Amino acid sequence: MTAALWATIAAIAASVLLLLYTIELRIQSRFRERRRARVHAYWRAVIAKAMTGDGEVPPLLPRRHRQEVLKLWNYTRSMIEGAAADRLIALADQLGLREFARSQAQHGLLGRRLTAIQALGHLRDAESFREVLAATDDDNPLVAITAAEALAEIDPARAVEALIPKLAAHRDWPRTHVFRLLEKAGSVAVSEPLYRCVRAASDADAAYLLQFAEIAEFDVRDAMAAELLSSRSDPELLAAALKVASGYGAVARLDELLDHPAWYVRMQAAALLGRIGNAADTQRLEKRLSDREWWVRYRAAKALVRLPTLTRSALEEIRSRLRDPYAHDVLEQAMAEAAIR
Amino acid sequence: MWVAFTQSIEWAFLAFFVAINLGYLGQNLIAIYGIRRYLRSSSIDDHDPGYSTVHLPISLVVPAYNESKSIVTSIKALLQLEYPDFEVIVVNDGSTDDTLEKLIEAFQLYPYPEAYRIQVPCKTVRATYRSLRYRNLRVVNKENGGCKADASNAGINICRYPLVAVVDADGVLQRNSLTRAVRPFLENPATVAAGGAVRIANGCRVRNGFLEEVGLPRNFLALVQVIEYLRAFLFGRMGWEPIGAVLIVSGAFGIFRRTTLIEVGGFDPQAVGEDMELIVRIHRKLKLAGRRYHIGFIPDPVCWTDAPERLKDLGSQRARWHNGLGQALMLNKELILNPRGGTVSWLAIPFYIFFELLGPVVEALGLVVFAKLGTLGLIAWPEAGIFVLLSLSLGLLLSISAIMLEEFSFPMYRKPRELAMLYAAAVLENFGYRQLTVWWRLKGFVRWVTGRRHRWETITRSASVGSG
Repeated sequence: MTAALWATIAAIAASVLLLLYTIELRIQSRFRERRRARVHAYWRAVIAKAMTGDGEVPPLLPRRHRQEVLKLWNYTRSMIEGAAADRLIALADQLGLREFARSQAQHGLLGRRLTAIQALGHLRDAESFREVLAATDDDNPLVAITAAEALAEIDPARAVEALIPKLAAHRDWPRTHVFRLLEKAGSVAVSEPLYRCVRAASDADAAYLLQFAEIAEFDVRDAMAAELLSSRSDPELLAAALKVASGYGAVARLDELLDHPAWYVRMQAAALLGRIGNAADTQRLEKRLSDREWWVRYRAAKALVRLPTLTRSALEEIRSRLRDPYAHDVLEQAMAEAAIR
Repeated sequence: MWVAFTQSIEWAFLAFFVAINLGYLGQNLIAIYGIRRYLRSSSIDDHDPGYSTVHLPISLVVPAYNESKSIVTSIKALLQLEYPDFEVIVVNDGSTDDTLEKLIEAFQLYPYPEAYRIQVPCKTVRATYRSLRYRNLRVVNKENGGCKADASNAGINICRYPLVAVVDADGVLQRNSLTRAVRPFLENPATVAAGGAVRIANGCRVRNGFLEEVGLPRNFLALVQVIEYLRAFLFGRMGWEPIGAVLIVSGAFGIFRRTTLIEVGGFDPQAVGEDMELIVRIHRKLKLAGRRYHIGFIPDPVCWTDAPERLKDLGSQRARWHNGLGQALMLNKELILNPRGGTVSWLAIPFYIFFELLGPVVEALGLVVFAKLGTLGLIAWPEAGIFVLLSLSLGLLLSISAIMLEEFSFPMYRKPRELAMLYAAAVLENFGYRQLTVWWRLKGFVRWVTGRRHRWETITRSASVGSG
């Protein structure tokens, strides 16, 4: 019972300590918030002045405020381009933020590293290209993708040359970010290295890389798809190539692909007909309306509705002669969708 | 002989008591570690505003049964969530009021022949509708399936995106809830389900379905539930997350990978606590298949829910939860101490069985034995007093620790008066409220043992949520 008594005393003492600690946490957080608000208010005004190019020498940045100001600078810089962006970069140099970002990108804690790498991108810091490129292989995917985006800001063309060969190995990179950084470089810069990588890649890697082909130039994209469709047989790769194709390169094998054992190949083949087909393809698509897979039926129905020469009455006639209830239902849905649109 | 008997009973209860409190304290420590780790990684939101734009498209499934009063406001709020790519699918589970008519009028719904695959079982769908005003809103009108699980399954069948969030029609989400809740899926591609902290909306100001101001309820029952939710989510769930043993993703708000939902068969309409049952089933199926997966939990408050303010409603809710707990564990009993089950089989499930499921039985038994021994004059009152004091002080310690975790992570109650109210509730809940919850949970235990089923439940709402 003595133990129980001591345990009770310990629990009460711990409760009181936690209570005091909670109060202290609250006081500290209030203090931090106020200090942060003061720093922000002061330096936001400095940054705003610098953007207008008033030529004033900025005040000295205290060491303890560097991190907070770098975050604020990053935030502003991410929304600004043109001459104002150049003035912001000049301000960062005057405040010593470039050196600070370089050191933090190497040695800082995760949050600080991310801010610093992002800042190096915003600063277009060509001297850090190699270090930032190394960070794209970091174990932490956030560091890696942030570094990749920074590279695209520093030198877009050089960045895509360096990054495209890494894409297949970095499937954890969010695709929206990859698209964004490739778009920054532009279709001309992306086309050649992407084509080269896709040709040399394994089936699985090529299928993955093809999803970024829509940024490549139209001719390159189509040539890539046609080459893969004629030379490879992996179903996932075929589906990816069909998704990218937008010309007649695939037509030679289209009947075969519409009957392919993998449903996703049939689905993409039907979808392709929706993009390039004409009235002569009606029967091919009609057959796919009875496919055993819902997605194939749905894509075939959407493709039928999209065929340029098929009128609504022609579609209604097709629907009325369909004996398969699944085919009937899915065409009805596609027609309803088209009507709402 | 009586002395030996009473001593052995005392030791048994003491051992149970020590074990349960050590368990909770252990959870607390793991939760502190987990929250610290989360806060460190979440600091990237400050540094990289672009990160929040990374997204996976989400289908929000909103099962609704007789939600006529609040459905339009709730759906309008959901449609305004800050997320780049999402759709809202409202499933009207054969409501007997004018829920569907309200939706048709407010959103200009248009009957629409949706052809979709039935991949998880549910009652017959009568019609599907699309909105002429919102391209990302669809409504499913189906036959009454008698439970949220059946309605959720209909939504899973019809939704199109890789992630499915099942949301209560009366829940209040924060504008950035989806951005936050999707993070476990972005950070770990093996994530199959994730949940976030649910907080109590009573006492908060809610306008047009959004939380305008956080506050504490005046109703004592609701106030005590604020503490309970802090305990349940900040260390109850967060204490299991770092060791990969989260067994519950709240039914109020949870995100799932659609392929996983389909693979495990969706929600079980027979389950009383369909949310917990689903998670335990996901663990069972994936563990036994030897698959690598992750069930995430984030301590951010992502959803605010209305807590019952009447004893009858609260009692019924707690009994249902306890019934659901027993059922979820037994429906997946293959997982108990399974060599392939890891921390789920060897730590979480035994903990839930011994301390959560059997806890009220042991506590009630303790009270009965205590009373009996009292009548026989076999109680040493000073020792009994110390024991009661120890029990109260440990309960208080856990509650205060939950308040500390709240302050440490995502403090919502900013006024000093609110902090004082939380402390007062942490003390007062020990006198009467905790004993009542034992009674309600015991009723739930009996219901589970006798196998009673659950149907849609109507709880009287507070004024804070629901209308405008």
